Amino acid sequence: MTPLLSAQRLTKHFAVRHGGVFGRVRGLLRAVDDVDFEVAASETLGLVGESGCGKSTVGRMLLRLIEPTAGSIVFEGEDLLALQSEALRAKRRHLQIIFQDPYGALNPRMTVEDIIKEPIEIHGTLDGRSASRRVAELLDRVGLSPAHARRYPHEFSGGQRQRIGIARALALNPRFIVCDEPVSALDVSIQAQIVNLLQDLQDEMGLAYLFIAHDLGVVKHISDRVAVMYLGKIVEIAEKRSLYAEPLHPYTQALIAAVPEPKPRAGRRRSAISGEIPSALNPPRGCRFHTRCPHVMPICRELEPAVAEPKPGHRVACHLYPAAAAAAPTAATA
Amino acid sequence: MTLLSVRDLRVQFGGGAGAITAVDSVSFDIAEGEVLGIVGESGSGKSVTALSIMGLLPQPPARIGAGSIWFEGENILTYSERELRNLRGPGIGMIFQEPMTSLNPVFTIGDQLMETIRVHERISPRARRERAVEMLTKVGIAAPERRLADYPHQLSGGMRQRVMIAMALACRPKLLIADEPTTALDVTIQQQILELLLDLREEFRMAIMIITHNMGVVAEVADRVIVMYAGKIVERAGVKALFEHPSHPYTRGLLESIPSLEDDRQRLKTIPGALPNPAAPPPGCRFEPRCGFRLEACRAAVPPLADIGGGHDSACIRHRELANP
Repeated sequence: MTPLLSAQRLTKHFAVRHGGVFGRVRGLLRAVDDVDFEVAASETLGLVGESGCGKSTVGRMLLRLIEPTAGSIVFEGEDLLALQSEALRAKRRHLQIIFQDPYGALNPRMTVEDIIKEPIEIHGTLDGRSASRRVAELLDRVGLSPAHARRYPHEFSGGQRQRIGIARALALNPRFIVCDEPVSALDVSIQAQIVNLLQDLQDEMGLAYLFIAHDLGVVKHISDRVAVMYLGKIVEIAEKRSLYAEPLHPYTQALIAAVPEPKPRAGRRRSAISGEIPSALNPPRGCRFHTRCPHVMPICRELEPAVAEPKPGHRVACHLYPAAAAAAPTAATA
Repeated sequence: MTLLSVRDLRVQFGGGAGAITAVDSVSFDIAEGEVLGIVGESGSGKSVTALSIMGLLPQPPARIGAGSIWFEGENILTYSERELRNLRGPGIGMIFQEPMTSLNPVFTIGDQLMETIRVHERISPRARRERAVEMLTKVGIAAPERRLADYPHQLSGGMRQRVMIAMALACRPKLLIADEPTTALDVTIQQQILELLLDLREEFRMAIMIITHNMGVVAEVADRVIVMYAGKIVERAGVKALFEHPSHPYTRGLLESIPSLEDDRQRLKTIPGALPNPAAPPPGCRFEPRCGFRLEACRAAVPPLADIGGGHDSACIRHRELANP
C-alpha cells in the first residue's frame, strides 16, 4: 500500500546565534535529525518522547509551519517541499493541525463562528450562507451546540475549546491531521471525551493522524503504530502491540517502565534510567542515548547505530540489534 | 501520632451573590511519617486546601469562613504572620508545580538556599554553605559546590524541582506539602523525583501531603488517598482499598477514564459533562448532574462523608453497590 504521507530524512537544525537574530551563528541545535516515517490513510501514528526530543518540530514541518533544513515530505504522491505557495496552499487543505493549548490557539477577539469559518474563507470553498451552515454542522459534529457559534473563546472550558479547535481543523475536510498534544492540558475526565471524539471522527471520515504526545497511555490507546523519539532521532518504530509488549530500544523500555500505573503495588519501584536528556546543541557522539543507557557498550560511544528491523515492521536504532550487513555501511556514513 | 488535623475547613472567594466556596467542610488528618495523596481535577479545591495550611492564601480575595487547622496540637489559623513564618520551614515545607516561577530568577540557587537556612537557623555563614551543599547532594545534584553559583535558568526543569525540594527540606520540616511536584516534568524525571521524595521521607521521617491529578502517581507513593470534587471530599481510603474498591462514582469514573498501558483500542469510558459552576453548585450532591448512579434523593441533600468500614469513607448514598459490583 502506498502511504498517504511519507517523510524521508527529515531534518531541522536551528541556528543558535550570539546576541539576537543578527548575531554570529554559535552553533546548531539539532532539533530533528534524519527522521523517516510513513503514515497510511486512516491510520494513527503515535509520536512519543520527552520534552525537547523534536516531536512537535516534526509535526510542524509536515505542514511547513517550520521549514525543514533537509529531507522530503511526500503527501499523496507530491513532494510538499517542492511546491510553491499556491500549489502548497491547495495541498495544505488536506493537512491540518490541532494544538495543545486550547487557550492560546484560538483568537480571543473572534467568535467561534469566525474561527471555524476562517479556513473556509481563505480557501473559498463555500459561499457565505453555506459556510454558516457548515459551521453549525461542524459544531454539532464535535459535540457543541450550533448556538455556541456567536460566543467567544473565553466563554468555554478547556475541553470545549479543544472541540472548537477540532471543528476548525475539520472545516476543509482534511485527510491528515497533526494532533500536537491535543489532550495534555485537559483533566482526565475531559481527556477521555476528546480522545473518543478523535477516534469517532477518524472512523467516520477516514482521517489519518500523527498523534504527538508524551503520555504513553493515551498514545497506546489511540495509535495503530508508535514511533519513539529521543534527541531528534526516531529510536524505535513499530506496530503498537509489538512496541508495548516487547520494546526493543533501552530508551523505550525505560520510558514504558517509568509510567506510574494506577495500581498500588507492594514495594518500591526503582528508576530504570538516571540522568537527564543532554542538550540538543551538543548531542552525545555515537548513540545519543548512550549517556543514560543501562546497556551501554564501547561501540555506542563511537558509532551512531543504524536502523535494524529485527521483526517485520519493528524498526530500532540500537547496537544491541545489529542491522543487516548490507544496510550498515550506508547508515554509518550517513 | 496525628501531625496535622484539618477540621471543617471552608474557604470562600469573593462576597455577596457571586461568592464561590472553593473548599467546603473539608476535614482530614495526616499522621507522622505518612504520605497522604489528594487527588482531584482542576477546581476541586486541592491547591486551595494546601495554601490554607501554609497560610499562603491571599486574603482577600480568599476568606477562611470556618474551620480549624491543627499542627502538633495548635490551631495555626490563629497564628500571627510571625508565628506562621516560624512554622514554615521547620514545621511545614512546600514545593510547587512550577519550579521556574517558584525560584527567584535574579539570585543564584546558593543564595536562595542559604537564605532559607539563615531565616530559620542561627548558624555561621560557613555552616550555612555546608548545609546547602549537603542538601543539594541529598537531592541528587551532581557537583553541588559549583551549582551553588548557578542561576535558575541554567538548570533543567528536573534540576530546578530538585533545588526546590532541597530548599523545602533544608529546615527539616515534619510535613512536606508537594503540590503537583512532577506535573511539569517528563516521565523518566518524574520517576526520579518521586523516588527521591520517598527516600527523603524515610531518611527524615517526614510526612508528605502530595497533591496531584495523576492517579498513577498516587498509586505509586501514597499510603492513604483523599479524592476531592468541586470543593468537597467525596472519598477517602487506604491506597489499596481506593483502587480496588472505589466507592464513589466520581472516583470510579476517574479510574475508568485513564487509558492504561494494558487496555486496547476500545472506547474510553468518560465522565459526561463538566465541573459545575462554582458560584451555583447543584443543591444536593455536587457530582449528581454527571453521575450514572444518581437517584432522586441525590438532589435533595448533600450526602455526608460516611465511614463505610475499615477506615474507608464515601460521600455516596449508593456506596455499597459501588464497592461490590
